[in-house]
Amino acid sequence: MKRTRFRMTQDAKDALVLLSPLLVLTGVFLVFPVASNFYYSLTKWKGLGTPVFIGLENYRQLFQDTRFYSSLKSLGTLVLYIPLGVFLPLVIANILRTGLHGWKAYRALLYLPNIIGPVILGTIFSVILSQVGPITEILKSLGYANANEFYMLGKSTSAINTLSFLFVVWMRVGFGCIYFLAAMSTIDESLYDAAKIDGTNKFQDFIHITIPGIRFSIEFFTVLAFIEVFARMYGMIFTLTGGGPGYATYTLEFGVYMLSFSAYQKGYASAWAVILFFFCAIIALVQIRLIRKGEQS
Amino acid sequence: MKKNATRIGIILVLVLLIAGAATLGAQGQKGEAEGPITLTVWNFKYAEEIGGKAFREMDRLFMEQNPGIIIDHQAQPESNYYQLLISAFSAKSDLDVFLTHTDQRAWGISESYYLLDDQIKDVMDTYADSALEACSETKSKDSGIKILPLTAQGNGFYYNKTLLKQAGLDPEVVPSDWNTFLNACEKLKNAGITPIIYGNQGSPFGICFTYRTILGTLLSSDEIDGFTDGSTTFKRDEYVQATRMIKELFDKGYVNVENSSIPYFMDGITDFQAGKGAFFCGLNSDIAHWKDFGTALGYENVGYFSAPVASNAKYPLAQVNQGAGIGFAVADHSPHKEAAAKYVKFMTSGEAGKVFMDATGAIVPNSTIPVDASNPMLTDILEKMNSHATPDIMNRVPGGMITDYYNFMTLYFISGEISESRYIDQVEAIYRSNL
Repeated sequence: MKRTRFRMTQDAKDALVLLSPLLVLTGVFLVFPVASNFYYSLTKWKGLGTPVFIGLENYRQLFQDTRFYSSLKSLGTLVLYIPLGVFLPLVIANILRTGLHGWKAYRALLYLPNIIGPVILGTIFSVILSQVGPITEILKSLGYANANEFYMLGKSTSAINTLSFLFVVWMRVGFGCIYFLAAMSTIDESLYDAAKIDGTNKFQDFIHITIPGIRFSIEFFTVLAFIEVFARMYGMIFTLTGGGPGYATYTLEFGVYMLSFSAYQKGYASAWAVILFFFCAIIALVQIRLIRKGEQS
Repeated sequence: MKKNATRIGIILVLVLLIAGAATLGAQGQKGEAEGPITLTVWNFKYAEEIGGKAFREMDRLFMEQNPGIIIDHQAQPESNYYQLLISAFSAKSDLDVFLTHTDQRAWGISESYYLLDDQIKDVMDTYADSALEACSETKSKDSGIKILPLTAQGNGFYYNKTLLKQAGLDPEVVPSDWNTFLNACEKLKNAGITPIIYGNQGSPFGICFTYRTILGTLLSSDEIDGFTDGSTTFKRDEYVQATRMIKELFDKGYVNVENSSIPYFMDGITDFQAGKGAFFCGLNSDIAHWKDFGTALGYENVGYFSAPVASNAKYPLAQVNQGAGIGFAVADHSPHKEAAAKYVKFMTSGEAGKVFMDATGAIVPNSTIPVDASNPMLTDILEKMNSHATPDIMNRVPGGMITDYYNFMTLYFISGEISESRYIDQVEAIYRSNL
């Protein structure tokens, strides 16, 4: 029998050698932690000492844990805000594109939340929305005697909705505007001129030219919003609500942190992280497909 | 050309490996150099103005008496302190001594705390027995000591006599009986005075501290100890009763309305110091204590009682006493354990302990430090702590349950979104899942 011998070309060898530093770094700082997380999810371990292998016990516990289902519910609410979080900057960008007096100042103001960052914003809003904050004081000055009861972060429903609006919509408006404005600048102006000759109004231009023209950018921005919701919310949750009241603003990511660093249950937290990993993997796959689609088109 | 590319690649890989190895090697070398020993000390109170000043003075005294040892005292944030400690233990990073609480947050990671038994034989009898028990992994005053106590700690109610007088109450009648307490709250409320100052933002310490004091009067020491291993349950009638007592305070409007928006540390404390409310569930030592309030309001205007006592309380005189609140411990991976043990002994006794006590008003449970007996309020608190001590429930429950427990306290007492039975069931579930 004839054996086929695998031989690398010199180009392939060179490429491999040149890529090897990056591969080593990726392996050490990305692949190994992810792989070891899968292993730790099958152990009882608090971050110190030797992990004890317990099979799928952590997953059994996870699927019986109220916090897990509360996290999914919170994520569901957050995801529901994504359409608004995409649509609002899109509309504002369109208004800015078509010309608005002093629009550069608006753009700077809108971008401000992105500069400040979620941790500081969470802290600021925990003060603004508190029972002794400016909103309460304004309501009191308007004669609303029970202004102290108007506490957005004190009730489950209002807390998760406040968090969702702040993080998914308000905080991302600035970046969204800049992003969509950049995308809109790539649309050929002659299309708008031709439409004007046909007698279209601004709304029709927006629906029939602008949106189709930046469709890829809108899809990509939506995927980014999903990533932010699933994997980048911890800072704001920690400073704004601490996951409460109850588990109202708990998310998978927040749960991973709390279980790992507050409850010393790193093995169990790893099981949460595995679930989060699968959610993120799905989002990443969608993102990759979109990028490929964008390249093809 | 191709050969050059291969060579460049190999060089890059080698440089990377050498740099990594050099970094690891440099870390391994640390601490092995000759010369004076440097002890790295972590402290979550070091950034505080008064406490920090006291620690600096204590370090100065230690270095003066031990010229071969240099103290590198570092402030760390309290909010993430134990997470940072775990990271330091895991990485075996430069850390020799650290300030720690004596509750389950410490015992959850105590395998990384150095056993001090052999190092402290000569001074064991200078520490209060209750403090040593709180600092022992086996809850014994004779062995398993992994922390040396810096403060004795407990909870109790302070009240503003001036405000009670304004509401037409006799300030010399201690309102510790539950009905007397409620009556006082009602009169204060009718006089336009906020009866109780709570600080519940973030962590609802106002509610939690009240629970501790009330449960101390309803449960025996053994029953409270039972929260360590699950033999006592949150579904007990006593816990339900304590819950109802606290809820009554909220329902009747006796608690400051903004309680969920102000943190206990320091807003709640400063509000009570400023005379914005009549009652405050404070601490016995260290902060939010007799000295803080006596200095602000005048010692003659501040009263103290251990707990609001229900008529059916089996232990009406009980005073919650953690034995020790905070203390110093030595990292098990420290290469300088002997010097570190010497330092923690020094810091928790004698001259250094006195510096800390005088500066902060802390009660340091060591016989080499004379306590100021001229202050009647301090004498009263010490008498209660010594004669009627009962364990603190929060020192017994697993540290991992605290955040979730606090979240549900907020949901029940402040948001009012869940029923009492759901709250109790949820607390029990959180407790069991963390055992």
